[in-house]
Amino acid sequence: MHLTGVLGVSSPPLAPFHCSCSGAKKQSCSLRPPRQQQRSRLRVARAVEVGAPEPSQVEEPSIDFAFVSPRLLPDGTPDVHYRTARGGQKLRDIMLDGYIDLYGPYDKVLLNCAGGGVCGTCLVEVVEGKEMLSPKTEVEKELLKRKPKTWRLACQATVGNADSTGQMIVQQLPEWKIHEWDK
Amino acid sequence: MATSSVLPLHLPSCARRASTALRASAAPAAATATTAQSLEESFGRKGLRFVGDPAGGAPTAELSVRNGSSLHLRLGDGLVTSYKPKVYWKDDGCREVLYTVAGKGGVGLVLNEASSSSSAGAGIAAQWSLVDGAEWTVRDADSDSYDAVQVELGCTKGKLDISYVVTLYGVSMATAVIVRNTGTKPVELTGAVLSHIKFDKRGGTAVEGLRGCPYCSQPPPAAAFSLLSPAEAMMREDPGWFSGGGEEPRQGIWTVEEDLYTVLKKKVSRVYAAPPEERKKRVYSTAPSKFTTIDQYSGLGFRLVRMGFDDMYLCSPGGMYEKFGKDYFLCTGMASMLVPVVVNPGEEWKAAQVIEHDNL
Repeated sequence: MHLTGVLGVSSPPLAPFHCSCSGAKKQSCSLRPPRQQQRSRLRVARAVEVGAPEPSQVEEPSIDFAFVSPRLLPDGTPDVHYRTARGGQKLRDIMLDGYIDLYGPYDKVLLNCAGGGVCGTCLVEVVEGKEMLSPKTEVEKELLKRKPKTWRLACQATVGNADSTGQMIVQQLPEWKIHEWDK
Repeated sequence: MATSSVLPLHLPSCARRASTALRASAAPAAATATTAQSLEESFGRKGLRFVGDPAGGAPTAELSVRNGSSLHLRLGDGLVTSYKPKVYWKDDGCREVLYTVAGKGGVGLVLNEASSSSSAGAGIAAQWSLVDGAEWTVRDADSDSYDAVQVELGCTKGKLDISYVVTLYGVSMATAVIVRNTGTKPVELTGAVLSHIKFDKRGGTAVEGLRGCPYCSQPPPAAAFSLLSPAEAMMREDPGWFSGGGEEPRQGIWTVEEDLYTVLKKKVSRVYAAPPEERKKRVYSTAPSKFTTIDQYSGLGFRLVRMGFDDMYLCSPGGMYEKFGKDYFLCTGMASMLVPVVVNPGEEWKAAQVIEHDNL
């Protein structure tokens, strides 16, 4: 079962060209800040729940992730990367092992606390699958007091346990994203 | 009008499409308009002009935008022969990105049809090119007169309708291919957009952003415009005095890129992608969607973005660059070359490569 239906896409994770970006003008180039303040909206299709994988006897249980980059590709489709990992680890470890951009501009040596839970730079927004994450720690509640409720610190959030399965959609660098999630 | 110029890449302003649609439909059967003058009359507009070839070959379309960036597209074979974006604020500030020598190089499209023989497990028996020697005709042109110009070339090969759209923006350029299957049988294609990018010196050439991506040695898809033929690209070079680093892996063996910066001094010919066996799994780790070329001496970086393609092809000529000129170059681009793409009857396949930069 591929992650069909994620983000309103109906084809396997290769060519998400039919993204249903309802609304506004599409942004053309990437790292320049958008000229208009219009944001495109991404829809999370409910088909994700239907396609939840049954844990097969042969492969070991793992959790599937879809990491969405803050910048859309030049044609307006979302830039998604898929990974799969065992549960029980911190989200930060899963992202760094998969070479997913977690820290953004704070990736350099001393600019983040490398998992200590004090700097607040490893922000992620959990779009789907938040029930699989451990509840917010005191540290997170303190640092994320003024942020949206869906945001988590990747170094403090543990994803399930070793034999859990499921799917998660995680938005990287939510402070930098130029699209909105429709629920 | 057969196809509108609305493709994955939307021009920033949609208002002008209505007026250009009218003008394009008034020019019937553009296939017969092959001289520069007639093309200019049907499609010329601000930012787009057609220049005849003094040597008598096919005309060239010259696209330009307000900030000074320009692009030259040779209409005979659809090769982008020159792309000069504005990269510096001072003076003219435009610098040629592509490497073209003796009519070859630049950015071009490779599209092959693969036929797999019917016996199981035989793989790809034969491939033949769909675009070599094809007659490209200008189907449509669009621009918003300031910051974006788009030209669409088309050709029909058997039951496949192929469109090649080249778009120039202020700080980027995009090449997209759309293949429509108008026949009754599914078709398997492999394709690539190969770009030859120029660098100042061999020592300071690197690519960033491929860390964690598996790669294997692979010859490039054969193309009439490429500077290195597949056999030449795969030839191993003498290590020289300071061989440094490891041996290039043999063809078919996948290794994972560990460095953030892939320095390209040596001769390599690699495909970076999720391995085909991986793709058969339920969920596999996808390859990065973009990488940046870095030129230490000029300090410029160009990002290549992959949309619709599955693999990224990267080739550096190593010592062989001297055969062509004094500039070092990389032949790189987005491709779908390991696993053929199946286009069913009535469906279309779209893929694009964007070269953009933030040097300003």
